[in-house]
This record gives sequence, C-alpha cells and structure tokens, in this order.
Amino acid sequence: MKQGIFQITKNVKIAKNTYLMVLKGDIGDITASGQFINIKLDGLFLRRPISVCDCDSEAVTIIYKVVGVGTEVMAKMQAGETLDVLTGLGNGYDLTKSGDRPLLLGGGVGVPPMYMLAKQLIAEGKKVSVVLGFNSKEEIFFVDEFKAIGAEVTVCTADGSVGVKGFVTDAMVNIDYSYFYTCGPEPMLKAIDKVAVTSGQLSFEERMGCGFGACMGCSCKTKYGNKRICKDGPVLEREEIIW
Amino acid sequence: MVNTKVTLCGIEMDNPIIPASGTFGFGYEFAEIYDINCLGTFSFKGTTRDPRFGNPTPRIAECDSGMINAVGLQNPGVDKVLSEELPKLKKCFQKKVMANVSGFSVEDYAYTVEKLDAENQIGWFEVNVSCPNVHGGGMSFGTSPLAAAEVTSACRKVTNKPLLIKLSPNVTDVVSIAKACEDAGADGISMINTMLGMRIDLKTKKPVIANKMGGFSGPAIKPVALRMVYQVYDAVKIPIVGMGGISTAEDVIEMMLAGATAVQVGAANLVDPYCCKEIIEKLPEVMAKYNITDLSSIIGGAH
Repeated sequence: MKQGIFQITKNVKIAKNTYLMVLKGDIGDITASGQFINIKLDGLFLRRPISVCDCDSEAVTIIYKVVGVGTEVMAKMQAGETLDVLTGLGNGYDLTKSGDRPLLLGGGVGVPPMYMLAKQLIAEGKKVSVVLGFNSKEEIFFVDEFKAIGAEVTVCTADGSVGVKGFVTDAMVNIDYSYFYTCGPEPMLKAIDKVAVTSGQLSFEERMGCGFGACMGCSCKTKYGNKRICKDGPVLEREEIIW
Repeated sequence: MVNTKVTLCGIEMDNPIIPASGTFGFGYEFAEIYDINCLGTFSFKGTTRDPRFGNPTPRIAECDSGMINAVGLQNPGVDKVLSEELPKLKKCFQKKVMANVSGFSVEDYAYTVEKLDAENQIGWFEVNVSCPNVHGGGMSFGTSPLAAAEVTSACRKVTNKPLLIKLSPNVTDVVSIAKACEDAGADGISMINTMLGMRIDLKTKKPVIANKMGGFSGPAIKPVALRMVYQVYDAVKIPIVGMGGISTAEDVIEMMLAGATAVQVGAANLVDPYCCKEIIEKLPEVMAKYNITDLSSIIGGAH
C-alpha cells in the first residue's frame, strides 16, 4: 500500500453514467490486476474504493459509474486537479492458474478489472475469451479496447439491444474454457458459479471502512476461514466461497 | 525543545498518541507503511474469550464528518491472539502495548484478562464495557455503574497491570459510571467509545447497516467527547485516556486541556493510515505555536 497525490490527466464520460479517469502518480504498489485504489474526496469522510482498469509506468486508469455522492463528485472533476489516493490494495487475480484458454466475465463496472487481466494473460500467450455484460446498449463500453488487445469478445445485454440477449451466463455456456475470472454484481457471480465447469476466481464487492485490512468492516466467511474483502480479497477462489 | 512525554498509570510514553482499538488491528498492517514504534503505544483489536466473526455485512456507513461501524468485535479469540497475533505484533512493535478486552459476562472479562496478563509486552489493559450484557437483563456493562464496577473488580483481581475501563457515551450520567470504576479499583478511564447511530438508505428505504444501528465515530463526535472527558476529569483522580474525533495535533492538545493524559485516534486511521505518525511529527510545532513546552503540564488545563 502506498499513499500518493495523483493528478487527473483525463476524466471523460464513456457510456451512460460511466466515466473513465486517468490518474498520474506513483503507481509502484499496483502489482496485480484485480487490485483497487481508494480515493479521498473533499467533503466526504470515507475513501471510495475503485478497481484498477489498467496501469502503465506512470498512470492508473479507472472506470466508475455514478451511483452516489462520491462518484458524483468525481464526475465533476477536471483534468489538472489532484486526488489523494491509496494504491496497491487487495490481492488481485492469480494468473498462474489460468490454463491455455481462460474466460473472463465482466458485468457492468465489473468489466474494467478484466481489461488489465486480459492484457496480462494475452501477453503470456493465452487465448483469452471475454464476455461483457451490460443492461442495455447505452451502458456498453470498452468492447473495441478488448478487441484491440486480441481478446475474443462476446457482448450480452439484459434487454437484448446488442449481442446475446440475457446475462453473461447465457454466453458462457457456449464457450470452451480452461479456467474463469470474473467481476460483477453478486447475483451475477452466483449465477456463474452455478453453471461454470472449471475452477475460477471471483472478485467481490463490500462496503469498506479503510480498504487496507484494519477495521474488519468488510469481512466474510469462507471455507478457508474469515477473510477481509479489502485485504485477503477482493478476489476469492471458487472453491472457498460460501454462498 | 518541547517535551511530548506523558506518564500513563506509571508507564512513561514518548508521546500521548495511541491508535484506538479496532482501527489498528494488531499493528502489522500499519507497520508495512511506517515504523509504528514512533507511537506512544497502541490499543490492539478488542479480544474476547472465544473467536468471533462479528455482525453480518454491511457493517460500515458513512456520515457527515464521520462513520458508523457495526463490526461486532470480530477477533480470533484470546488463545489465537496469544499464539498468532502477539508474536506478529512483537516483530513490528517493541514498546508496551495496550490490550483491549471485551466480554459477554463478568467471567469472560476476567478470563481473558487473566490469560493475557502473563504477556510481558502488555503494559495496560483497556476493558471495553459497552457490549450487550445477557446477564443484566439486556443492559450493557457500560451503562450501569453497578455492572461496570463488577467487571472492574473481577479484572482487578486477576491483574496487577494498569487497568483502564473504556466507557460508553450512550448513558445519562457518565460521571457516576467513571466513579464506580474508580471505586472498584480501576487505574484509569478510557473514553469515549462510539455513539449509537444510524443511517437509512433512501433507495432501499432500510438501514444501511445490516445490524440496523452501529457506533458513530469521527470528527463529528469530538465536542461530545471533550465535554464528557471534562466532566469526568472533575470527578475522578485517576487518569483519563481521551478519544472521539481526534485527527490532528490541535485536537490532541484540546483533548488534553479537557483532562486527558493520553489521547487515542480512531476513525482517522481508517481514512489516513499515516495519521498518527503525522500527528506525532506535527505535535512539537503546534505545541510551540501555543507556548507549550511540556505537554503533560497542560492536562486538565481548561478547568
């Protein structure tokens, strides 16, 4: 974990209520895809945890949906402004278990962490399939970005306005895969667990106090004992989850 | 040169700064980012006789200038604290530590204190008497002078180490409870624990916290904490560890003027993990600004 002052170099709307922000600063503690950063905002007491979408040597990219006061503040911020950010939080995905044909499933704001993960797996020579789930056409983002890095992309929409009509699980059953990685709302994770034919890793969300393992605000029970979503997660192995 | 040293129940501390129990784990998460030996001490995670998972989630809600938590004393239980947590703590912290203990019966408290008592590194006990008491007809130990005194004397019997009782602000007369603890043999008072609070989600129209209510902490409660410390300082002779909304060196001085010998920092650690280190670094400068050369000389100065 590291605390740093980051400068916003980009903050643009990319879909309905959805924004992409690029933050320039010391990203040295971001060691894995699936990790998150925790952002301090003026006038709000608790930090806002947002998953990492991508990072290079000097900046981190996040994608967030405006769902409350914190993300409303973020959406109004301009390039050039600075933010106090904790980086390098959470365990992130373990790439070593992917096999040759990993399947990545992202739902809504669960899509962003799949991007950095896909890049890393493709760089390792894996054949990566990605299933992206959205509610409707106007909420879709990053399909071209995933295609550009060489992932095989299937889009699903709940209302059928684009791609497969239904949920990511409707597309998942037609794909041959060696392992799966996912991030999205809990009902989606649960549905995936019901139909998945391999092991996998699932990233969970919970209301957090600190984001770095001190307060026990986001604990959950697993078959491997009590875990803190922020520190021992947010990524859990399929086998350890108690639904 | 200014002197930041204080003496709490006979143990000298380099400075009065103590991360509060439940916001600092057993220290090692924070030791990853700074040398925690700069602290006066810290109060480790509330320990109970048996392991506890705590309450269902969500356990956290944000408020204006603060937060609500309903963690529910999650801890691995005293045996694992002794066998797993304290060895890890020892590796990153060499000073005397404050052991925070909770229980659900008088026997629980005494059992846990007695088990921990042999640990050399434990300098003080901080006994948290604001948990629901099944033995007292739904009352909590910290809301009745009699029950608080009962816990105090039971713990007193099993330890010779300094014994502080951590009081709840959710009472009509905190002074009578503090006095009852003093009379029962407490060496100090630690106050205040969180205030009972609630948030309601307008989308679901239900409480945000799964347990419905939780403990409200953060800068918003500082005036209440100052008032209660001030009142108790007038009524007891034993030292007070003051807390509630502390996040700056100025807050520390204000709390000491109210009557605190040492000061705990709670919710602020969760938002700014370097907060205690920064307060300690800033303290000499802020002392100089207010013409304070010896920090312990200002304790109770507002009276």
